[in-house]
Amino acid sequence: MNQRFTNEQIEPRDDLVKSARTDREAFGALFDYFYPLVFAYCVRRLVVRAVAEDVASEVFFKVAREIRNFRGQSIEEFRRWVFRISTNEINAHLRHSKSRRELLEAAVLMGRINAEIIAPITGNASMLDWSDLYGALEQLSVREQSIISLRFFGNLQHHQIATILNLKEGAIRVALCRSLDRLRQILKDRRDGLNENLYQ
Amino acid sequence: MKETSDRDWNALFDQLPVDVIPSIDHHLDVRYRATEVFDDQSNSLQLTQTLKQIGQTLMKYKVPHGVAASLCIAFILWIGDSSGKPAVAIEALIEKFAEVKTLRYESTTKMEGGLVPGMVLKMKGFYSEPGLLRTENDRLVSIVDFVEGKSLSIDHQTKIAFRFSFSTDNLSQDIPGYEINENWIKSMQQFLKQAQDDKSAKVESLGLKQLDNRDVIGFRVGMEHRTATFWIDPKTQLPIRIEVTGIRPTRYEMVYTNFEFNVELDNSIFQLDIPDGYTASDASIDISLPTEKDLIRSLEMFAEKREGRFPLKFEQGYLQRSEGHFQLRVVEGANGDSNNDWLKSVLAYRRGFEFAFRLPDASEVHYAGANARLGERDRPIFWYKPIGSEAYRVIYADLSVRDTNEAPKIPDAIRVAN
Repeated sequence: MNQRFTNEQIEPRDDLVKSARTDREAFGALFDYFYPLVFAYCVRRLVVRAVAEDVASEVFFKVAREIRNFRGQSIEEFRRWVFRISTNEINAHLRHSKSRRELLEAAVLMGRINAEIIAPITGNASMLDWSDLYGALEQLSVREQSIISLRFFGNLQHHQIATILNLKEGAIRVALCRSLDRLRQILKDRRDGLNENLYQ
Repeated sequence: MKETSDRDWNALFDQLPVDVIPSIDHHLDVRYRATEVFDDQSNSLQLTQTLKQIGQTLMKYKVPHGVAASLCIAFILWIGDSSGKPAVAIEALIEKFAEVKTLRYESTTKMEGGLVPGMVLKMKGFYSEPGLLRTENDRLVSIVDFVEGKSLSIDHQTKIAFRFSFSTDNLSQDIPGYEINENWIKSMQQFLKQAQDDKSAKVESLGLKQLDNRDVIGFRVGMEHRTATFWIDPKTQLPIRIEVTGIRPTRYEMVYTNFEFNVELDNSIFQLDIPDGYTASDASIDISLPTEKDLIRSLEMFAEKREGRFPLKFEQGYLQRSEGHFQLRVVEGANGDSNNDWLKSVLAYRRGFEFAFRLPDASEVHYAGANARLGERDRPIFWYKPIGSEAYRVIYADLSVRDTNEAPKIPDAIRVAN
């Protein structure tokens, strides 16, 4: 059985961030806490496990290279920094059409979205696949994708996303709301398109 | 239609059928590699003042060899005519050079890698027969008595004096290019002989030029790992400036100037006494030729410090930075070593890898330990063909060694460049 690394540790103390600039043990402790979070963020967004592993690895190689220049003092600042790098890496990966195609092909294998879960979003218990959701995400702007990803794949709060994307918290709330509306509309259109095809 | 709420979206995304937990193997693998990157970035920049002092102290041992080699090459060049062919018997030159009893010079060394990358070290040097060498700058003094096998390095800033004793009993000439010798002049002569036999040495005449208002004859020689440019005074037939670039132990440039031959030197400058008010640290070092056994020990030391992993790369810069980290941990007392013990550890750690890098190209040196773990049986991590042997010596991840008729076939093996 494949062993797993779950993140059930207590959040590290702020002073670990300062130590991690010069001390490999402290860096390792930060890694142990944040790697599962970043991996989860990547795999939710990129679906393909091997790709998520590559991207998450690259995130931490960058962190390792740059941590000496990181000026943050707290775990919260470190979290934002790591998720900013992660978001940039994910977006860079998805800039390639081959990567997007790979993602959608993998999403097809995820099957159907539970009708009861999707119903409050699209208006009725429609038949939609997870690939529809990822396909719909693709139609949003990179910034909209980033906001939704950080909120729902990274489980971050509005103020955290605001700092990561260098925007005001209010602007994030508005942008998230609009992005989700757009996503919902795209999904609804997809569902309608599917229904039309079904009854033709 | 009513607007969807965060809760609805949360409910949707919570249902994502993906496994979000990384495997332990993957987690540990990335952790290890990320930490390697961390070490790679930070060691060179973060070394404590203590480490600088250590690095500079240890580096002194390179200085006499470098000077020796340079001067030997100078004489090879000096005998060459404009076409680069020897015009005078080398044997005669060796004899003439042996007339040098004392020497004073200045040197500037720039190191690209090593413990303190980019470091520029300016030193004054003094040599006296039969094997005394002193190098110094405002902060550091290093005195080596190659006959007695003793050395003293003094740091005026920290007021620490390192006193070494070393044995030269096991010196061997099996491996070309190994320049350590108990006698500075003798080592020059040996190097000269070695260069004489080296048909691959490239000699280029730079003609007659003016340098510091003096006529000089310039030559450039490319040897296996070193290129040296010499500016010789045709009247004295001795060098007035030597420029050396090389790649061992890291990429470096050395410029030697202001040579004064057979000058009177006060013997007191070679005294190995520790000045009053300085803290003494004693250690013994082994400057005999490193062996395969040393390499195995170095690999073991690396793996012990790195959770059973072997080096990801077998490159001098990488291993030196690892060495810096290794030293840092030791200095901080992470393993409880005493002052002298850590120095021994560092030197032992360095020796083994030096063995690998001193093997000639013909030895077909290969490394395949990047993904191996200490203790794995039947997993080759390093192999080479000893000089004159048809069989390969293969070191496995459990650090056992066997002879094989064929080189192991490992897909991710890399050829070690020396």
